[in-house]
Amino acid sequence: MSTQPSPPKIDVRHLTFAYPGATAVFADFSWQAAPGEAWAIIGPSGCGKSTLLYILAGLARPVSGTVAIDGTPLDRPRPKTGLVLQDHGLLPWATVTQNARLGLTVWRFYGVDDRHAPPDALMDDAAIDARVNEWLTRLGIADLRHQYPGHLSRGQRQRTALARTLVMQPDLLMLDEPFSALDAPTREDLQQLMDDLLAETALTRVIVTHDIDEALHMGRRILVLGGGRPQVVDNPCARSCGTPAPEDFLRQRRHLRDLLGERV
Amino acid sequence: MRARIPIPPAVIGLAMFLAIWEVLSLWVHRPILPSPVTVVPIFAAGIFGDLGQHFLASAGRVLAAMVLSVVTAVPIGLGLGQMQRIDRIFAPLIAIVYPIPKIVFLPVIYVLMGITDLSKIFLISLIIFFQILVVVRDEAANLPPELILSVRSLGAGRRALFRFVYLPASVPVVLTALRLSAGTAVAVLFIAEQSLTTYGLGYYIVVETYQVLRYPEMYAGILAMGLLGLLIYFAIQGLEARFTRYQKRNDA
Repeated sequence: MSTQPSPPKIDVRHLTFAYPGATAVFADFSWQAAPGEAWAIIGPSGCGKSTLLYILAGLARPVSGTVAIDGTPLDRPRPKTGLVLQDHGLLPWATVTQNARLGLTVWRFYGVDDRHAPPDALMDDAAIDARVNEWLTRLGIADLRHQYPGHLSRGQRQRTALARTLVMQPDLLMLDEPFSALDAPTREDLQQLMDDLLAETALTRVIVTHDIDEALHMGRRILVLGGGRPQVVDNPCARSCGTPAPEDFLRQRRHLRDLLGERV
Repeated sequence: MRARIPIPPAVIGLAMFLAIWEVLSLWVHRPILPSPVTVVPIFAAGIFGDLGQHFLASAGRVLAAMVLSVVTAVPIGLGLGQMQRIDRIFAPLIAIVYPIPKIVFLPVIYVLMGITDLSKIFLISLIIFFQILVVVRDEAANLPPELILSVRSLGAGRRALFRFVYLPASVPVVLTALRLSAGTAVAVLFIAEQSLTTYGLGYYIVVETYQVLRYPEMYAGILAMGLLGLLIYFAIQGLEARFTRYQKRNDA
């Protein structure tokens, strides 16, 4: 327990959100995540998981309620929030390197204005190159640097999207279905990398998934969304906390399934 | 997938073209269809002199029209593609004006803009403008939302989105539209140059040669105009190949 109360990393209060002409996805929803936590958000499709990520990333505005990151109300995308969407959103006409550099290119395009780019943004070419190369190497895609996204496998595209986000050294990393449709070795590999990052840096991580096992693997705390009130499940048996006893894992699994089952 | 035409097929095509022309001229055997053996030397001599000046005048007008239409149609198309409310207001007007053969506005433009080079350039750019406007608008409107959201999450505002997403996304469609409208542009240029100027291939072909029965020179002019159309077409195709490299092997 720290003696100095720091603001929650993510502080959502009384959030209401609806797409125009549709019923509310969130009504009076409140949720807090502490710095350094690893969260999984799980729920059936259409429950608003991805929408919540868009709101937390400053890409969608709530109808009412507030969202604050580090105690600062959010009204635009925040430079230190990293977001990787399910479809990666890579530029099809840019190579792996150019895609990985994009965030830093955008920062440099605006200059350090503390609005689009953080005050400590990397601005010189050599330093940017070095950092991009470092991440391409660590993600195992250094050999693909001159390839276009259309020529890559799904896993390679996911690695490129991760590189693009990680070169910006985010303190909040949000991933939408990051491991779905990946082959098992790639999934394992990326999950391990995510856990290493969590251990190495002061990173808060939010992963959105529809997969119960993945939520249990990746989320030390799990936010269950769906028809009823959102619920938080503590999950000490996530992989980042060591290998869980099988019976604990199965019990948690049943618990989550029950929670989700009520909502179908 | 479109491959760049390598040299051999182009040479073969040219040889066949000249052969058929020669056969036709032997068959018709009248001054109205001179042999390429007569015309090609006239063309070769003229292209570095008088004919060349007409060629440059025509080329200058087409290129100016292309530049004018690109710099106006791309921003407007990108704007309409992003702002659906405004697009909905103008879409019916664009749908009506787009298919009109713009050559019918020739007298109107001459009356309103005067008999300058600018009015000819404006007429041609009007054709290309709508071709580009429509494809750029549709391209901008159909970009995947995930792409826009991802780049916005990296900190990109309106200006950076324009520079790093919308602009590069529109380059291939702009080039395709330019290439496809090159033929019409040269055709309209040909008509526009037949009057109210003393320079340009249209003037050379119709006023300086056709009307005074200088048939071999007239054919040299036609060759030059054909060459102009070809050069524009292949130049744009070359650019397209460069800018669409990332699309290759996509289906593989």
